[in-house]
Amino acid sequence: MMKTYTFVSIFLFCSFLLLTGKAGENIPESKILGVWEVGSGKARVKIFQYGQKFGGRIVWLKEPKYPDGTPKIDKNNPDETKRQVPLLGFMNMTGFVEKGSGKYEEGTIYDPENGSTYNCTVELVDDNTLEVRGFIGVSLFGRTDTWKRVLLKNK
Amino acid sequence: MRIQTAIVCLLLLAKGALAQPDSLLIPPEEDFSKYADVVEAPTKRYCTSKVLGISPSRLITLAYDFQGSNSLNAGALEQFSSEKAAITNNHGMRFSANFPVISNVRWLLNLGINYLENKYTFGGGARQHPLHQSLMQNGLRSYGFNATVFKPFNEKYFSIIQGMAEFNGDLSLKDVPSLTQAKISASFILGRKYHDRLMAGIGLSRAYRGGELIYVPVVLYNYTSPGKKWGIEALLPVRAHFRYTVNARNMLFAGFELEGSSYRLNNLVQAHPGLINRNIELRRAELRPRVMYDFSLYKFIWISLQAGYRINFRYQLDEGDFYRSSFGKEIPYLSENKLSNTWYGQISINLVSP
Repeated sequence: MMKTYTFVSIFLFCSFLLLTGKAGENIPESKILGVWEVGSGKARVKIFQYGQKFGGRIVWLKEPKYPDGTPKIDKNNPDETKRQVPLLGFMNMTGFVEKGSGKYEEGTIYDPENGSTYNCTVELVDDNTLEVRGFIGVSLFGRTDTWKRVLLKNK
Repeated sequence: MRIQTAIVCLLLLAKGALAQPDSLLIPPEEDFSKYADVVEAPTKRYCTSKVLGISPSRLITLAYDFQGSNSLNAGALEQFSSEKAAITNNHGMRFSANFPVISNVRWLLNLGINYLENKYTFGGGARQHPLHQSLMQNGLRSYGFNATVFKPFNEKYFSIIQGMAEFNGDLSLKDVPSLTQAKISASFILGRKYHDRLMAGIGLSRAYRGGELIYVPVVLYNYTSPGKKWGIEALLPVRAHFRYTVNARNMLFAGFELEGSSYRLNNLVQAHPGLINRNIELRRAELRPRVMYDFSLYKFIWISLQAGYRINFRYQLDEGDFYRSSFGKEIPYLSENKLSNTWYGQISINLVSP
């Protein structure tokens, strides 16, 4: 009976930690988190953590609407069923794993301009500069874009 | 105890499942307007090497070039009198590869190689002139290595330095070109990026594109219209194209390219021991007005179809490699030839950069 009680206590405590994320409270927050403006200045991406991985979501577009006033959608997506998805709020970066020294690898990035998904690595050059390298297969076949951190005036 | 362990595992799996991207694909209910009002964190910015909407950079290209029938009137060369010959066709494979070896915010280093061949098929009849014989047997080939550095200074100003070593001649695939016969080209451009859709620059180039060594000013101009439907991609005097973007995967171009080099004709000389001059080069240059259609076949694999006219404005034999200054006295060519103009077509398959 005592054994079962002990287990239930540990189980409930672990559940609380896992579901609230409190277990990670002592882990320093990754410097990659935050809002970044892409090199062209056309979009801002919010990078966030989910589980042990990092992803990014488009949270601002310089031109959020088409000339007819309708919100921009993912019209270049190769999957026709997803072409009505709004670009604002779209998760365009997934699967990044922190590798230390400001490097994040094993992720992918989606370019709504042409509907292509690339392998991707990101690296913090400094606290406010992020180098995002999209590539095909091997890093040599790729292109690097430089993103700048932006700070929200009203959080 | 097994049941208890299983419960813990299921809980951990549930936590993992919550973290999967699929569950995050649905946009959160969030007021996105707050992301419009921002301040930039203090940091130095640099301009990039491209403008919005520009055609994708080609990493690897495999092309087949085919030209229609024309004629070559080879001028008198020492004891050989002039001779006119019909060329049934002129064709060859081309290959190039460009690798962005270093690519970061502060600078970009691109290394590349290229191979180009011109095979000539002549009409019937024996040919006596050494140039005709050499072209029939060997054609022309080029092997090149190049390096390009793009160096931004800040958000507006940048420089481009480009160098290339080429081995051109009536080489067979077995011939090993001599390093001393490499044709060295180089360019330096200083430029400004006015905004995301316009970059322009001016500089100086040492080049063989016109068939012989020249020092010429160069102008870089890459522009995309506000609607991103059309633009200009130019590096004068080498090439210039109007671009019409049908969509992100289909582009149309109209413009021209200057093509050519100076070819060392070692095999021609070896096949004719009676020639007094043992140091003969062919100055070949052509202007190619053309239209192109580039489209994405599958993801990063693009096909380029082009058709145009080949204006052969230089095809002379000359002695060695030297700078024929426009301001100096007139130096005659070793042999004056006339290659007539004709149409051409080219198809290429390309791996393009993201």
